[in-house]
Amino acid sequence: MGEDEPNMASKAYDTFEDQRKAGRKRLREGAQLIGDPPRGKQYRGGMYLLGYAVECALKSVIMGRLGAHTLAEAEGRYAARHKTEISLTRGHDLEALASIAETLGVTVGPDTELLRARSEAFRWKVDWRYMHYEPRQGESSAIHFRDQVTVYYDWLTSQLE
Amino acid sequence: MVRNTKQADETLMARVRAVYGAEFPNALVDVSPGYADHIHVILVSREFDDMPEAEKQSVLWRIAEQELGDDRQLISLMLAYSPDELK
Repeated sequence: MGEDEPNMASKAYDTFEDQRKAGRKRLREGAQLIGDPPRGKQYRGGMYLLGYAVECALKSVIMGRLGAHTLAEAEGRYAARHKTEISLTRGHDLEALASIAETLGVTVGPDTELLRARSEAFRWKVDWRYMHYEPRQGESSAIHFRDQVTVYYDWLTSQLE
Repeated sequence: MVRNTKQADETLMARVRAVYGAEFPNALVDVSPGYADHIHVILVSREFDDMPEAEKQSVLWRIAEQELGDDRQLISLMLAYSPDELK
């Protein structure tokens, strides 16, 4: 490691600001990889980043609702308040994270467009970072995923305001 | 990770299965529990052959809106496939 390179291992990236900023950046990069108009076959990488952006947004919202500065602090506050242990630091299941957020009042409600966007986001799996992607409708599926995930991400971040 | 304090309602799952089964009589309709009291819906049908993803989802969510009312809020995952997409 060179002198100018940050020591990545020394930082946990577990604060509210770390997660909020990472979500915003990964969303932008994911959308760029898929392209508008689509320009290549980098769909899986783009879709992985888009889903990761939602993971960061969910963790930000949970920390925000609990008034916590870090993920560990949020876990402690949630356990104290709800008498239930949660794991945010290793949590990559978007539906599980959203179910935690729901217990903190972050509920989608009856808006069908938002329900549809949430469902599309919940398709995401952290293992996508290892996978190749060659579906029959690759381009239309990737574009749909990008558009729907962006709707859900925007709604989630609006819950921080 | 926190897991189900409430469980998916069997009556709702049967109703959702019936609604989509009636709309797609030749489809495989799978309804299963998600997190908390939410449910997952998966359909496999030839009717989805060559149908773009956005159109498939529009069809399914329109049915949810018309037939399931507020219970549609409990669908956390809705997937539709043509058999060719699974080959």
